Amino acid sequence: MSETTAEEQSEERKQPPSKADTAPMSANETVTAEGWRPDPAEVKVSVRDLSVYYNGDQALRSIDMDIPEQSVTALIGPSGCGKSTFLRSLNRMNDEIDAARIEGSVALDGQEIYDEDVDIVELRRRVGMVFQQPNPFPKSIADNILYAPSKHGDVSTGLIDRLLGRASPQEADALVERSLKAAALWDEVNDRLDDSAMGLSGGQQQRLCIARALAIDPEVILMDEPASALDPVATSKIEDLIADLAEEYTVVIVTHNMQQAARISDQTAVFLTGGELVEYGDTDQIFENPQSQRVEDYITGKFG
Amino acid sequence: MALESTGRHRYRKVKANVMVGLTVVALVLALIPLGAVLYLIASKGLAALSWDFLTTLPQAPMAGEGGGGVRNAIVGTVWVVVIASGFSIPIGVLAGIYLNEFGDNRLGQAVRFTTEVLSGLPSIIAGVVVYSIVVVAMGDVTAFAGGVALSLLAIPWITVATQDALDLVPQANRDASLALGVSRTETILFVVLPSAFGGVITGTMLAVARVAGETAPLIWTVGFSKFAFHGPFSQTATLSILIYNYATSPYEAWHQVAWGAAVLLVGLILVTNVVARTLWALRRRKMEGRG
Amino acid sequence: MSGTTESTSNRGLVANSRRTRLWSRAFRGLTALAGLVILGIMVVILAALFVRAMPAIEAFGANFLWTTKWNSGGQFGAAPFIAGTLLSSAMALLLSVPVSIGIAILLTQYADGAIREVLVFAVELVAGIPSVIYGLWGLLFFSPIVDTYVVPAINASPLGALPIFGEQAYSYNILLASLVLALMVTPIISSFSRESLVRVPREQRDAGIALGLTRWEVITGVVIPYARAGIISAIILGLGRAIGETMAVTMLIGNKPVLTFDFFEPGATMSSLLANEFNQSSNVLHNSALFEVGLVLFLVAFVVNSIARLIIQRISHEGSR
Repeated sequence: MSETTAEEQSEERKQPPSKADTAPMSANETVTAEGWRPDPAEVKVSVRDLSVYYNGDQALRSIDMDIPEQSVTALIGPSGCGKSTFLRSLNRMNDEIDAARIEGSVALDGQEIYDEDVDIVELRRRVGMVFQQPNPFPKSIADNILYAPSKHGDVSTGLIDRLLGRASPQEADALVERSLKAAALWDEVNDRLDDSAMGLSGGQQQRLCIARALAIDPEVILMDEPASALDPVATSKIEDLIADLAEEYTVVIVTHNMQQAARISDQTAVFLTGGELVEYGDTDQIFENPQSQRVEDYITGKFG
Repeated sequence: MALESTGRHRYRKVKANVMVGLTVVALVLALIPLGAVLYLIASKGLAALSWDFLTTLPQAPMAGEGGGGVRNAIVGTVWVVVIASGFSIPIGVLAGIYLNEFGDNRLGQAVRFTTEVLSGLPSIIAGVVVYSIVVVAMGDVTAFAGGVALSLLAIPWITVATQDALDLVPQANRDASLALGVSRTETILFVVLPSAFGGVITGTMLAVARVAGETAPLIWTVGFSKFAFHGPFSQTATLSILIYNYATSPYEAWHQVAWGAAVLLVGLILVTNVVARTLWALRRRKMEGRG
Repeated sequence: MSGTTESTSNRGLVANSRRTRLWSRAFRGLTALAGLVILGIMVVILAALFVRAMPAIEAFGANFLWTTKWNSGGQFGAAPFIAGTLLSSAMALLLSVPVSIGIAILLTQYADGAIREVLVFAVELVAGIPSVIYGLWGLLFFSPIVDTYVVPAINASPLGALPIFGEQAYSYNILLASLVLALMVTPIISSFSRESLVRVPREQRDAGIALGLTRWEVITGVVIPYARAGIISAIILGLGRAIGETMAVTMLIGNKPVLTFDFFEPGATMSSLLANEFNQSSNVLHNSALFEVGLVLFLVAFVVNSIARLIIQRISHEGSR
């Protein structure tokens, strides 16, 4: 992916690039760099013509996007431009909102997730989510991680299982350890797994939420501004973690922080007013040489 | 890597739906008796109502005559409620003002805690205590003593209602007034109270309606009477005691009278509740409309 | 500003004339006085009960609490009534708590909009019906139903073998009182539980749903644990209400001042005793014993309600973290 783009980038630098001026056009067109397209074999989530309406107001306009697997895709843009709405469309969290109407298609590994007979529970196992405010359950650290897996049947830790002799405490412990290690939290908490999660610091709580999401073995991890409520030290730990996670998982992250997006993501999508996806492409290219005037204005801070 | 349901998922979903169904059953379990009570009160009670019923005195149900009317009980209830209001509204409102506007200190904490505890006072105890003081002092059970006993129950309710209503007034209003140099008291009287007025009225109405239905405090303080109302310093009939006495009697005729009295009481309470809440809702909409 | 002759430039600093300041102080004092009255009421209640109970306290000492004889051979004991209060309250809570919490869950997690408003109003209406009317209804309508359907059902089931469900069922018994009591405490437990459930932050539920949990799993695994302190205090408040409830109980429980653990037997509670035996005191000691029962009832209700309120206070402090 990177080679072709770089070649074509240097091609374009030979002539003064003409900015495609995106005054609001009737048909929404996402500007991407010439020839930049994720390798179809590597596409994990494919979004076609996705529109979301809240009580009649359109929050997302016909979004087309292919998200490559095992990489970090950042969604940036001013507040209220639909980034979170888009994210929540990928695991059908918008279904929980009565006022929301969704049109278009989202496909996970080629399978349409808005199909009638899709099991939402299964979908959310494969597409996990981490929220802006750390929100651990009012349980112990270990129980936070084990609750969902035990409901899904991955481990047996319930009272009934224990009474029936079906419990698998070693599996449970192993899962807790695996998840905490993957979230870079194991070293800090392994001696107090039975303590309440509420006693952890903000950054630790957020990593616990990540561990909790990892415990159900997802393939895609959606993150809605995961570090915006944290201090700089905790933030940088999360960023390092994201880079590690991207080796195994497909990470899609909404962020207000453009420097963060530039630092950690492989590709970036820019959402501007009204839920438009204005430009989407390789991160370096978006930040160094955006195709769209509006995007350049946004990035250089002329507005938004 | 299909996204279709597995057996386990289906079980969990079915379980979730069954549980929702159970909560609906719980709701129904609570509402069916309510429906039965309301239906019976309406059917039997309304049947007993008549002009005579409201204007004559109770009588012994012998010789095929009905059980009489409840005129004295209606008058008695009104008196007792008025006396109770006379005590409880001033004390309750003033205490509510104290707690919300001046109460950020030790005395306030003590009063707040005591108010909360008193709102859980067993109603019979109110009557027992007032008996030991007022009835003994006055030598006999009286409507007055009953009013005092009822006010022991109503004071915490009105205090809390006033406090809540005052709490709803934004602090900014107070600050604006104080910043203009107006004294705290004037601020309360001319800025805060007018704003909170609706809430205070609502709370007071609800408390008064509740008090009208109380029976236990009256047993030790008012007793009962078959005779016409004699003044607040004598024994009197009240609707709630009447229901108690007649329902536990063996006479069918008196049971009818009890149902009739019940419909009066419940009707009063229902009407007061609906009026109070509607006024409150209207006022809220007016305030929000001004935005 | 009557009585003062400040120029306009002074007005800002001397805004309150002496008169206004005096009225201010008087008003504040008046409201504080009202607060003191409330404190005074509490003190008077305790004092009156204590003073009147003194003769009995001196005569019987601590034994009063477990003596089972009442008004026989000069002996008075509160045991039958303490037991009656405990039994009826426990049974009432046992039946009411699942129902109340179920209703609270239904009304906060599932119902919405106008339907919810109506249902909330309906449940509150249950609390608005005066106790004596539940007694009336219980006596004249519900009691035969319990006799015809509930009692045989219990006897036919494994429960019937338990000692708390004896052989003979009287029409007015502890069970009947407990059933109606359960109905009466449901609105309190339900409404306080609702308040706690509503306070659970949206993000907790979202996190659960995002993990692929069903709505019910989110409710039982996340929402209720989060709100557990509030729910517990709601239950304790319901207990306090059950303990103090008088009229419906006294009309339905049979008023037999004899200790029993059989729900099919008539019994008595502390409050029903007081309602029932007014004006029947044969002597000073009897009267004083009644007051002592009143004192015990008051103290028990006081403790239970205080615990509930303390829990609530603790929650609201933690909430503002």
